[in-house]
Amino acid sequence: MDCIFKLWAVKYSLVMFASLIWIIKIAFKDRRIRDALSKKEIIVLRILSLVILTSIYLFLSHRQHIINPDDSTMPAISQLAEGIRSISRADEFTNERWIVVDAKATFSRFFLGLAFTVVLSISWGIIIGCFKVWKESSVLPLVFFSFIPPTAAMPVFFVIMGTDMAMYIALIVFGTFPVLARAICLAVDEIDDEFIFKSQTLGASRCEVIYNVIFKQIFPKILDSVRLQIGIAVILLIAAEMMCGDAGFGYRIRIHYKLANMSVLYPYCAILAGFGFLLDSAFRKFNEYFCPWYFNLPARKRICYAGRINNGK
Amino acid sequence: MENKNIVLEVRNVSHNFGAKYVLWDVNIDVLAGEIVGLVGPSGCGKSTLLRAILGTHPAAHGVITVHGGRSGRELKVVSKANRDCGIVYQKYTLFPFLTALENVAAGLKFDESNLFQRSAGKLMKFNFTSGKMKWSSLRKIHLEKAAALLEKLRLKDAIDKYPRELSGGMRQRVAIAQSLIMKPKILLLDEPFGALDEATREELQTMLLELYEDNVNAKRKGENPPYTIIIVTHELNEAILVGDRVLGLSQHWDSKSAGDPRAINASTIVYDSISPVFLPDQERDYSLFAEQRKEIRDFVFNPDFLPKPGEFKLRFWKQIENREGRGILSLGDKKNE
Repeated sequence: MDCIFKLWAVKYSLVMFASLIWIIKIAFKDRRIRDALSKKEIIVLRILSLVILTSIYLFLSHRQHIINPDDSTMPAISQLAEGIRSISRADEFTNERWIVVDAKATFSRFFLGLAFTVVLSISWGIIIGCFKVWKESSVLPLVFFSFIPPTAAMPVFFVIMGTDMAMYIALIVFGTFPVLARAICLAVDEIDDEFIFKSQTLGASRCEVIYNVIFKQIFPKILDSVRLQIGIAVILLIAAEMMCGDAGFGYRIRIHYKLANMSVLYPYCAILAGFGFLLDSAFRKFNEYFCPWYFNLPARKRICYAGRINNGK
Repeated sequence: MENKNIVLEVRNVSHNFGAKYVLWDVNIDVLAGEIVGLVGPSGCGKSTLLRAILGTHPAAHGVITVHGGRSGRELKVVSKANRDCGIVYQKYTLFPFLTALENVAAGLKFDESNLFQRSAGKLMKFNFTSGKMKWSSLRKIHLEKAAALLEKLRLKDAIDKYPRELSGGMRQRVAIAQSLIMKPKILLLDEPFGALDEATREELQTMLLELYEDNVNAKRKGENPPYTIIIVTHELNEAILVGDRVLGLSQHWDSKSAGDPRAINASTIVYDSISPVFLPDQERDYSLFAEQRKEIRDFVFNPDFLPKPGEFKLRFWKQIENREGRGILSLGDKKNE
C-alpha cells in the first residue's frame, strides 16, 4: 500500500512539474504586458481552470480513498451523488425536501435583510452627503458601530430580538448599513459643486438637485457598493443560522459538519457560491443596462429627433 | 445712466476672505446684447467676481442686480444661483448620465415641470404639468426644442451621445447650448476655452460671434437682443476678438491713494472700453486688435504701472455717448428714441 502510494506521488509530481514548466512557458513567452486575448483563448483558459480544479479534487479524494475506502471528508463522485440525493429527497418525518426548506429560509432572510439595508443606507447616505448637519451629528456613532464586529455582537441580537426573522434582518442591517451609508456619503461628496450650481442655474429645486442630479449620478456607485456588501451579508446570515437557526443553510451545515458528512456540506457550499455568483452578475448586468454611461457604453435608446424636425420643416 | 437696456448692475461690490480684501469697489453696468470680455492678471479675483454675479458665493459688500429676470420681481438682487444667470465652466459640467440632447433639455425640464409632476405623470399618465399638458407630450416638445438648438450649433451628430463620447470642443458647445436654452438674462463663461486646442478654440469663438450676429439682427428689428454674455479669459486676444467691450480687473493700481486700508492689494476695474468686433463674415482688421492689446497689457497686466483711481481708463460710457461703439453698440436704442 505504502509503496504504491509513493510511486503515485513520484509520478504525479514529475507530471505536475513538467506541466508547470510548460504552462509558465506558454503563459509568459512573447506575451506583451496587458496583451488582449481572443475570445477562443479566453473560453479555453476558463474551462481549463475548472478542469484543473476538478482533477485536483478528484486526485486528492482518490488518494484519501486508497487509505480509507469509507472516507467521508473527501467524498468521491458516487458519495457526492448520494449526498445530493439525500438533500433533494423528501424527508421521512416531515415529508419536505431539505434543500427547499433551507433555501426558503435562508433566501427570504437574506433578501429581506438586503432590502432593508439598501433602502435605509441609500436614504441615510444621501441625507448625510447632502446635509452636513446630519452627517456631523451621526458620524461618530456610525463609525463606532461600523468597527464592532457583527459576529461579536450576535449574542446581543439573540437576547434582544429573539431568534426569528427580525433578528436576521437586524443583524444584516447592523453589519452592512454603516459601511454602505458611508460609501454612499463619500460618493455624494465626490460630486463637484459645479454640478449643483449648474443645475440651480437651470432652475432645479432642492429636491430635483438631490434626485435628478445627485442620485442619478451616484446610482451605479450605489449598486457597486451593494454588490460588495452581498458577501458580508451572507457571512453574517450563515453564522447566525449556525448559532441559533432551526432551518437554513447554516443550520444544515452545522448538523452535518458534526457528523463529518461532507457529501452534504459540499453541495451546500456550491449552491451558496453559485447563488453569490449569479447575484453578483445580475447586479452587474442590471447596472450595465440602466447606466451604460458608467461603463463607457453608448446610449441604449437612439432617438432621431433631428431627423424628425427636418421632415417637419 | 438711466438706461432701460441695462441687464446687469454691479454696485460697489467688495469681497474679502478674512482680513484680506480681493475685490474693492467694483462697479459694472452691462447692456443687453453685449459680449463683455473680462481680463486680468492671474489671482486678481476674476472668478470671485463671476461667482458673486452668479450668486453661488454672494459678495460680502455691495449689491448685484439682474434686471428683468423671470424669477419674481422686476429687479432681482442676486443672493443665490438661479435661472437668470447661465454659467459655463471650463471643465464642461455636463451631466454624464444624460445624452447631449437630454442634457440640453434638462433646463427646460427643471424649469417647466417639477419632480412630483414628472413622477406622477410617468406612473399614472395624468395631466399634472402646468398648461394642461401631459408630461410625455411636454417632454417631446422639450426634446425637439433642444434638438433644434443643437442643430443650430452644428451638433447634429452628437445628439444621442453621452458627454464622454464627445470631443472637448463638442462638449463645450453642448454646455453652452445647455445654458442658452434657458434664455438666461446673462450668460457667464468662466475660461470656457481654456482646455481646448487652438483650432477648436477658434471654431467656438466664431460660434460666439454668430450668436452676436443674432443679437445685432434682433436689435436692427427693434427686438430685445437674446444673448448677453460675460466671458472671463486670460487670453487677451480672445477677449478683444469675441467681445465688443473689454473690462480689465487688476490689483496693479495705486491702492494706497484710495484712502482705505482695506483696499490695499485688492482688485478693481481699471480698464473699461469698447473693443473692435467683427461679425463672422466681415473682414477682420488685426491692427486694431494689436493696438488695444498693447494698451491693455500696459495698463492692466503691468505690475510696475500703478495708476491712481482718477487715472483709470473707464471710457466705455463716454464712447457710447459719442456713438463710437461697434456692432450692437452702434445701433443705438430704438425704444428710447
